[in-house]
Amino acid sequence: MLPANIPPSPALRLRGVSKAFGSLTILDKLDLDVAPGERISIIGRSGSGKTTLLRVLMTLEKLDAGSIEVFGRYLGQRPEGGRLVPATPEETRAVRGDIGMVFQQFNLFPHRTAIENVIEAPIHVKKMGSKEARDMGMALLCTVGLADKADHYPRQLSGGQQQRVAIARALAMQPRIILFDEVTSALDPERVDEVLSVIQGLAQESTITMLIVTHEMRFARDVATRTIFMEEGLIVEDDAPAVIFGKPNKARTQSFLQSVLGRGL
Amino acid sequence: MTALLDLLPQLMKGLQTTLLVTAFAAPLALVMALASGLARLSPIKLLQWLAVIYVELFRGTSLLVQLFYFFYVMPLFGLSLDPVTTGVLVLALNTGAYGSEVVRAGIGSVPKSQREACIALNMSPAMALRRVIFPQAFVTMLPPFGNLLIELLKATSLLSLITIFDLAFAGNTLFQTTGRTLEIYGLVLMIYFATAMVLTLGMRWLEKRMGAGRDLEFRP
Repeated sequence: MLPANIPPSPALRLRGVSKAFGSLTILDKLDLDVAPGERISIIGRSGSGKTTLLRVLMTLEKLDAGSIEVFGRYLGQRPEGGRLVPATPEETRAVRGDIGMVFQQFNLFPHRTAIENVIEAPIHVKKMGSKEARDMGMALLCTVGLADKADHYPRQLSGGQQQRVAIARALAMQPRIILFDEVTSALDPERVDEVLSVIQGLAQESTITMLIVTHEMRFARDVATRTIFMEEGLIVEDDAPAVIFGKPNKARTQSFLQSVLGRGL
Repeated sequence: MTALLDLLPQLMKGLQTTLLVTAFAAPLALVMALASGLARLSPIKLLQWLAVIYVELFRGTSLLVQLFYFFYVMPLFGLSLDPVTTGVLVLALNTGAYGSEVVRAGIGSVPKSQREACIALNMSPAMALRRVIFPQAFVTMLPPFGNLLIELLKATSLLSLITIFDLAFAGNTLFQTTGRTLEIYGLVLMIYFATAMVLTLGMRWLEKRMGAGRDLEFRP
């Protein structure tokens, strides 16, 4: 018989993750475990630390303290003599490759067309052949419903279309974890659904691990397998979406949901 | 009218030198600007300092004195160059020092979010600079580079003071032999202006060509 249930290494393991800007604490000794394939929606007020949590995972912000493991490998750090020391840029990049991110403001490259945005990193970072990359890029643009816009520059696309290109671009690097940082907050209201349905489709058709920071409460409930409510750099409540949105256990979660939802979803 | 035409061959000969010096100094200045501008953004402290010293030295002293220094003083240290080489070198170093700031500002003008997108795509800093940051920055550098190119063209007139027969020198010579102030300096002025216009149009064309994705119409 095979050894009984050795747990697979978690997609993410955060221990004591802390971040402050000056005297303002943004992340306060955060612990979090994420299993592969989980889809976690992260909700909370502005300034609660949700976006910063994603940014430290993407190595866009340095940790003040604590550690992050990605599929069992330390991110940005390396154990040495019983403690963690800063990793080299190459070591960091080796681990960071498991993570992709989609930004609130899309951050597409304005001097490149949609398809060029998507295949830039596969060709130059992953050294994929340009024919292969193009085929994969077109397939991804097809998935997000933009095959006909492949040769358009970002300026020529609506916000919703740009964000869908950005999702395709992140997926092109085949990350095992993808971070969505308020990806609909910069969009016109009528453009929100086209982006959310792309993410919904991705959730149904892949086992990619997702961390989704969002202010769209219905989406946060429907897309996720787990929901986290954050306040003042702490995880206040961490439970199934049905519990958080149905009958939250913490008064602070209740009061937040009441303030954003009013009478309901 | 025929008298005016008599002046032209001499002036054209001078213009030739002016254009020649500009044509050699401009690419060299661009190289200096890029090298020192990028060096100032390098994480290597020594490179930063070398770039700062170069830029401040050449911006902080007069171009004319730099020309005299290279032409009259350098030979005392054993470095003896012919006048045109000296002119090209000094003009390139001087213009490159100003261009260095253009490069630095251009790189700085690319939003931080572009760098973050590169990190999210796991690019190295060098690759991000080469593939994403610099191509965008370069477009914003073109208008100030155009300014510097015209400055460079006009600054070549100082070369007449280190014995180079450029357009300004040709004008002076003609003036001394004929004394026809009005026609000669009027012509010299117009020739400089026409040349500068050609350079301006060339830079406009380049801006248009390099600006892919920037000035396109919104077509959702």
